[in-house]
Amino acid sequence: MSRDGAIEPVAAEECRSILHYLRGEKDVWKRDLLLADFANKVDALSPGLADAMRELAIRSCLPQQGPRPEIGKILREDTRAPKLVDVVITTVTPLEWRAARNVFAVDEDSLQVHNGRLYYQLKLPCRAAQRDLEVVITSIMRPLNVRATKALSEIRHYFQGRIYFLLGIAAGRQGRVELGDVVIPEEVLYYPPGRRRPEGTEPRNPHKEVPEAVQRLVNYYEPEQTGFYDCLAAGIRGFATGDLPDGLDDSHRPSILANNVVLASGEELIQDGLLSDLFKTEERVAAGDEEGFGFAEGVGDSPWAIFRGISDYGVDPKPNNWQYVAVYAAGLALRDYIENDFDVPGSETF
Amino acid sequence: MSAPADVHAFWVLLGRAASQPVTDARKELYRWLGKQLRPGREVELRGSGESKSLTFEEVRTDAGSAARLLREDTQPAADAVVIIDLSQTAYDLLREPFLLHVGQAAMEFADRPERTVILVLPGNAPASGSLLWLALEGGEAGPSGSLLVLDRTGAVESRGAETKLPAHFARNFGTRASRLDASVQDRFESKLLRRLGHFDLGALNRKAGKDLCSHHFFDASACIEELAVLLDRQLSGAISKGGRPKWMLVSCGSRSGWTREAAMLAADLAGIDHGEWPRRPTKNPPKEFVGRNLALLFDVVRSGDSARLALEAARRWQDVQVKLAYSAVGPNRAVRDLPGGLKLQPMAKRSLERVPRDRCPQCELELPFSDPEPGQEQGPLRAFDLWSMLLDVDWLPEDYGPRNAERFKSSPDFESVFKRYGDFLAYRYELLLNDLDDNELVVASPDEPAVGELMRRLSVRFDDRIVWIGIPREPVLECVREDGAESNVKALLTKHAEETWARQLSNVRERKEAVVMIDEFNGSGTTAQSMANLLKGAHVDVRGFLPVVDRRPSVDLGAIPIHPLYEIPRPRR
Repeated sequence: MSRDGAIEPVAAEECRSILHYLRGEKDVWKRDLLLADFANKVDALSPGLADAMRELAIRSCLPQQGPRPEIGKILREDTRAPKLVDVVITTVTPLEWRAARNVFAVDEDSLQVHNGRLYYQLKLPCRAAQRDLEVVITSIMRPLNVRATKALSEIRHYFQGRIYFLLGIAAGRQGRVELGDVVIPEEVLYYPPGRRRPEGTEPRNPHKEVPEAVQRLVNYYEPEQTGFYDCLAAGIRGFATGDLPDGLDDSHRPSILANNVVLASGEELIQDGLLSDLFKTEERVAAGDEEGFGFAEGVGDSPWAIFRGISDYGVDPKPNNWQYVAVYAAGLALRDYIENDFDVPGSETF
Repeated sequence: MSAPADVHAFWVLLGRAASQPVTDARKELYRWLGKQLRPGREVELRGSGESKSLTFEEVRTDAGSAARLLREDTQPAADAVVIIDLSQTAYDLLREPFLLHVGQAAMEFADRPERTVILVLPGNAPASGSLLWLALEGGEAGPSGSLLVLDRTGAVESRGAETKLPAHFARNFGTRASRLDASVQDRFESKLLRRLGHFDLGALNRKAGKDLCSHHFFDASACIEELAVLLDRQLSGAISKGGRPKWMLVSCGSRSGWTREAAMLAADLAGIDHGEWPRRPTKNPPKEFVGRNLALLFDVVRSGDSARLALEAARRWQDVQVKLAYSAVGPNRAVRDLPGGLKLQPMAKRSLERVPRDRCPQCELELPFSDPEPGQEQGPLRAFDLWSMLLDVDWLPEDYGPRNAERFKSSPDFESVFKRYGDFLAYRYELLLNDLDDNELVVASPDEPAVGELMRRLSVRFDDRIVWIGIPREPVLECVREDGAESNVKALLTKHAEETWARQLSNVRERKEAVVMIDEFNGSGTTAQSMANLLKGAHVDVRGFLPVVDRRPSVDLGAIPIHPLYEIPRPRR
């Protein structure tokens, strides 16, 4: 705003205009004045938009390689407000992605692509909310916690969920869970950090706790009452042969574990019995993965929960043919939970 | 050898709060008049060399003020030629009581047998019942000297002693007087406004299936009369007097009210009827077109598509002939392939940019469209427009500015900016100034080339009703002192009392009028502060400071508000 408040320039339009001229200008004095003009106006913008504009201004100082992208297009991508939806579900591996698409019966017409990432939008009826919920399904696409955090940051740029779910498979601690079971952890334990000493490593393990309101609702979830197992049986009957473990049939009744369950999350695929070692320091450890902690970090202050199907015990050899049925069961449990016992964060019952 | 004859000229200007220097061309006309009336003698021009200026308020409340202004000068020599030149003020602003007093003053001057008084009026002479003629009747004997009343065409009325005029005096005077003003064509072209913005031409050309934008939009609402005169000349040359009843001038382009107004006026001047093109395509022609020869007037023709559509429609109509086609503004190159072999005659030719929307940089930047209706622009210039102007000219090292301050090593050549975009900037200033002052406009600025060019464009925009007080840099710099001590300024004004700018300030102070300060940019606030000190010390009220670009928005000029057209905080060090 100018000094007397009489003049109120539309700062975003002004900044886009200045960027337009900055991009084509090489003369140092002209650039100096253009940048002064830009700097004066950009502070009036929202932080996200201002950052995107500043990045373009910085890029204008660099040698241009290849065709020049359009400022308007870049800013549309970079600065659009995220779409508010009720639920964002993300998977990791291609197999998990395939299972999620089947469980949630996505409509291919609802497919959106943002920055190379695929998103499906669908509606799910929710008994508690007494309305259809807006649900988005996407994928982190690559394993490891740091990538999960980065991917969540990007996903949230396009879709702001009232709650975020991570859906996939995990290794289970033998003796606590069975293959095909579904775990819904209360906490995620990030087990790699520690202080290395000659005598050994002293753990410094951060935890991420699922918000209490989410835990409470999960605890109320009773799959026996909702028809979950009937749905699972029907689903299994439709599986391709390669997706079924030997000897498994539609009588499969996995347990869904939500009480005293901790997910151990690290940066390595567990195949050496590590979960049994972790049990010695945290008796609630029931499963292990490579993305849970990064996911919980990546959602920021938003509510979140993790649904993992147990596909192996974290020891050699891995029974690979349990993966699809495990994630399918976890996905079906998530869908069943959303439809029957979940309520939208922010509502009276949440 | 006889002594030189004195020519004592009074150039009377109304609607001005301060005097203006008489231009060299006008002085030359006065000398020529002297030589015509004192043949064989050298002539010497007397008088202050500045106009006798009056505000409209003074004319309204004190009609005798003009006569007093004329009398306050030293008395002309007994055999002088006295010229009272009212030609610069539109006739409808010369009120009858004012004319009565001017006529009486003229009669007083003519009260010497050897003296010749010439009263130069604008346009044609007033009607016979005018109080001017009553004043010029005088007593039974009339004036003892001679008195001539000339209008701008040179038509002469004389009173008093007989004056022997050279052959072709009237015609030669008319020709010379008309040279003082820019030609109608020049006036039209300089007043034609090219607004900058983001204009949606698609809405105008949808029939042609095009979505187009332009960075420019032309507006002739400030030069309707000039456009009408140019059209009248075209029509009068093309249509015989006897054939006029069959002709009609039709305005096409309903989006601009000025096209219609200009067409109506031109039709009136040419003695033909006026009509309007139907807003929607019609199978049958409007009734008033039937049996007529039509001359079409388009507002702005870029490619000729809209003209082609109209002419195609007209060809399908029975008993209607389109024989002439004009446009207020047309492209630099000829518009070809018009139906019926018609040629489009533009009154002004311009480079007319239009861009398909998918290649329009402003569309790519998602800048909203500008309102084609003039006068809607609020606030500062758009960044897109400001930078398009600044980057369209050379950038040069600053070669003048405050003492002891670093000069800008590279700065836009504002003189070129004003030459290329002065019409638009003057229009934007008009919008600002209309909020500040609606009467006589007095602008003070440093007397420098760039701002001088801006003032020329402002003067055109304001129909010459603007008084510019161009203060040389030296006196401005002498007032740099922050305290603006009044005694210093008083001494300064005394030192420069004979200079035009100092007398103009004195005029403004006496009339209790206000000035606005304008400059091309405010680099450090030093010049603005100095100007403010000078004007404050001269007891002149300053309504505001209006730089084009304010590079030091934090400068504090006390009670003087600052309204820049654009702000870039990047001050001089």
